[in-house]
Amino acid sequence: MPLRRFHFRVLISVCLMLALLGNVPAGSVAQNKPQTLYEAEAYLLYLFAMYTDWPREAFPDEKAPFVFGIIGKDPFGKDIDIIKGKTVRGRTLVVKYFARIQDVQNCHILFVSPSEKDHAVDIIKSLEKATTLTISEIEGFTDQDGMINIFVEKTRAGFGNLKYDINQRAAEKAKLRINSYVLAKAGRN
Amino acid sequence: MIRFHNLSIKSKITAIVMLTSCAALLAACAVFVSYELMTFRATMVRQLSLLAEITGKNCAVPVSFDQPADADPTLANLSIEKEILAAGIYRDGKIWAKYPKGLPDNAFPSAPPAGDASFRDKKLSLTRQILDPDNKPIGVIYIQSSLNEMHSRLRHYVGTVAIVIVVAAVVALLIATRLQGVISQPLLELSSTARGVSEKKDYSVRARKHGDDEVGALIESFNEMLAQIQKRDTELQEARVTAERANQAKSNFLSFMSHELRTPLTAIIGFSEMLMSEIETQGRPEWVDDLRRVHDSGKYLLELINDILDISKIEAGKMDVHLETFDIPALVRDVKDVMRPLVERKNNQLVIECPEDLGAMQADRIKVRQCLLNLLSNASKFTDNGTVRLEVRRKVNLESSNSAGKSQPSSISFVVSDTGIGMTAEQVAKLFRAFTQADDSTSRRYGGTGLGLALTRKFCQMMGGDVTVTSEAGKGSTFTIELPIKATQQGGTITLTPAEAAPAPRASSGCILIIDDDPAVHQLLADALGPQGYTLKFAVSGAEGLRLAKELRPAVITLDVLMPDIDGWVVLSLLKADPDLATIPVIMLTVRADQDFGFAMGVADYLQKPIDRDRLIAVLKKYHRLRPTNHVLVVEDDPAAREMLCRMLGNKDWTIAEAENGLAALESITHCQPSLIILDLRMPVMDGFEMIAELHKHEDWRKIPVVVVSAKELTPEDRLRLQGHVQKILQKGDFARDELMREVQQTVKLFLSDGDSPQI
Repeated sequence: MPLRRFHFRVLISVCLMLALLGNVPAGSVAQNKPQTLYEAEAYLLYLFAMYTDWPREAFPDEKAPFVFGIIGKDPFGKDIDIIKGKTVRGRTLVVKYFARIQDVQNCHILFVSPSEKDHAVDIIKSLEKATTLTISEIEGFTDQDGMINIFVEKTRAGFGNLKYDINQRAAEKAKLRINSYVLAKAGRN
Repeated sequence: MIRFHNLSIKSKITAIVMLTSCAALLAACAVFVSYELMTFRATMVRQLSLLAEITGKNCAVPVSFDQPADADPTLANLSIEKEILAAGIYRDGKIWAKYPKGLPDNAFPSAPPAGDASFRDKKLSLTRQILDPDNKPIGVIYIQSSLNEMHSRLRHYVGTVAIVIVVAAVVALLIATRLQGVISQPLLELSSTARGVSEKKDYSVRARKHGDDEVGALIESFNEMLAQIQKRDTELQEARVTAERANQAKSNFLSFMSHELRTPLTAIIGFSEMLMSEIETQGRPEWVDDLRRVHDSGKYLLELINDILDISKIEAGKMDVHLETFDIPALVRDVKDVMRPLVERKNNQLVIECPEDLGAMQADRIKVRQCLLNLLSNASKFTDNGTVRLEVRRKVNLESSNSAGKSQPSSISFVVSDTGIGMTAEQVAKLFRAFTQADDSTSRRYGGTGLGLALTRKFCQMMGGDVTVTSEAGKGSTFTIELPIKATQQGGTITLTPAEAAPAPRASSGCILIIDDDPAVHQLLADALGPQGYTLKFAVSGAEGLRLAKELRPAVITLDVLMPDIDGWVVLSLLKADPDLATIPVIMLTVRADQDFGFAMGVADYLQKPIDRDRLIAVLKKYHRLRPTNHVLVVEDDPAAREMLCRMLGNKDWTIAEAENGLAALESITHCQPSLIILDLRMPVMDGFEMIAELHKHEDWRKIPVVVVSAKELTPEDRLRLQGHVQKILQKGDFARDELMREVQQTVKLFLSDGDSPQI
């Protein structure tokens, strides 16, 4: 299956070194180190936003914000604050919550909540023409033409290890160019 | 070390060029090298920061994703740059990734160093921030590079600069050595020209001009200066030549006048004198007075002429002082002999006080004599029936002899006093002025030119002394001449040293040596021979006789046989054994008659005691006459003077030949070589100087003694020309006729009486 070829297995080890957090100098990258699993996941999503190129037409104007949408039941809660107020390529990151797929508009990253497991195909389909990077924890999301599937390596201790698969073809179809390093890191192993 | 200022201009220019070029080159090289180093450092920093940025960028994603293992391959790529010693990425302020991998953490600064780039510890360290796509710093990359390349490049530069400077210095030296000539050559030429000018005094040379620069201007002004000097020199030369010519004309006139005036006068005086004695013997006394008037007038005229010539010579600056060392008592005796008849003629008594041991003085003998004669004749002139006194004293200069060690030679004072008419103070005041006498009436009564005292004063002053006078009218006058014992050398002074006279050709003293132990015999011979005009010397023993014979080289020796120390025969054999003395005729005087033995021993003649006076004289005359060809050649153009000289000499035992000029004389010499030549200097056809030169060319003739008897005033140049060629110079003007004749006779006798005479 040609689609499968584009399924990358990503392994990301997010080491949360809480003990050293207080000593980080000002201005450094990870001012707010993720401390919970969803903080780590939020930060990973932020890195995806950072290392993916959106086409020009994805933004109506220069000052348009970067929209980070969440559809379905919000799994982040307060943990999303870790990326609130950050900028992506000079654009303010804005978190938006959607209940229905019809509400989703001008969204650059759409996190499909596990609660929408059954509607994932519809959601992906409705975004066929949009330049939206679709990301979900739902098992087999990339097989349903979702773009990035995040999953937790259960074997690891602590908060676990976040890994992801990427359906590059789907991303390219949406005119999104994902950083080659990010692509290379995709995969379950 | 040679000081720079003393270097030649060539070296100076070369040194300056070298110094300048080397300094400029050094400065340029220093600037170049430091610029190169700066550029190199900047390039290094730029390259390293580029590398850091690229590496940082390549590591940005792994940093973002906190995957140090993913940064390592990127960092490992730095190995292509050999200079990079270490590199590291800081994340969250801590070392996060390292290159090379094995390096311990403490090899890196614990925190990323602040600042951009730093050259420290021979290393270049540099930090760059790693940015995420949102340009937010997510980490810091630190790279450390060694400066080996820069240092090797610096060494390379220094080496290159050294080589460049050496090569440039050599090239500069070559060029400077060649090109310095452009500046130095004109200067050196100018300098050598200037030196040449000052050394050779040749102001006609000009320095060569090379260009129109400052040196050219200098050369131009130098040349102009030379031209001015040359012009002035030429003018001076011309002026000097003119002045010299005028001066020469003056001296020539003086010389001519002295000769032309004196020569006839000498004849007048001479012949009148001869006539007088002739007439006296012929018994015509009534003519004697007339002749005496002629004679006296002639003499007076001669004196007058001499005085006037002397005065004009002094005024023309032509009077020279001829210094010689002479015996003072001898001079005084000479003066006494001359003055006595004159003084006694006026019934005056001449008193001479002169210690015999007064010794010698250095002065112009002729002038001293003339001064004394002037004063004495003056004294005699104004004194009747009185005393004329001459005192000669050595005066020690007390002041000088007191001063430390260096005793100033004392002076000699000649004091001439009389008991005559004396003078008033007024008369004394104008006494020494030329052409002025005490008053007009004096000259009317006593005659005279009044030049004598003026001349005396001048002469004394020329010899470094003076003449003073004290007088009281009616009681007499005292004139005092004071002369230094050694006359000071002054302008126009010529010192006659003994070396200047021609060496007397082994001349015999012409005397007769008497060797006898008996003083009575000495007295007897002195009485017998003295009046005959012989000079006698006495020895009281054989030893003394031999010594005197060697010393005096007598004309004849009389020898006693019986003497206490060495017997006469022994003395005779010793005399004959000495080649210098063997030819001297020896006349034996003895009481014993062993003639044969005597002749066998080489005795010339033999006289038996008691001595017969007439026989002795006859024998002595025989040996004087027996001298080989006593032939005298008189060279004189004036017939009267020649005649007079011949006649006077004819009285004696010499054969006389005459010649009216040098050429005729040389002719005569080729026929018969004379033993002595009496020579006038001023003659037509060939004068005396030329003739002496001719004589000198002949080996044989060179030895003939020459006595110059001339009325010509001798200039110093004349004296130089005669020096070494003539035995004696007698000047007609300086002597009265009888004195001159006596001098001539004595001189002739001196040169002819020696057995080894120069005709050999």
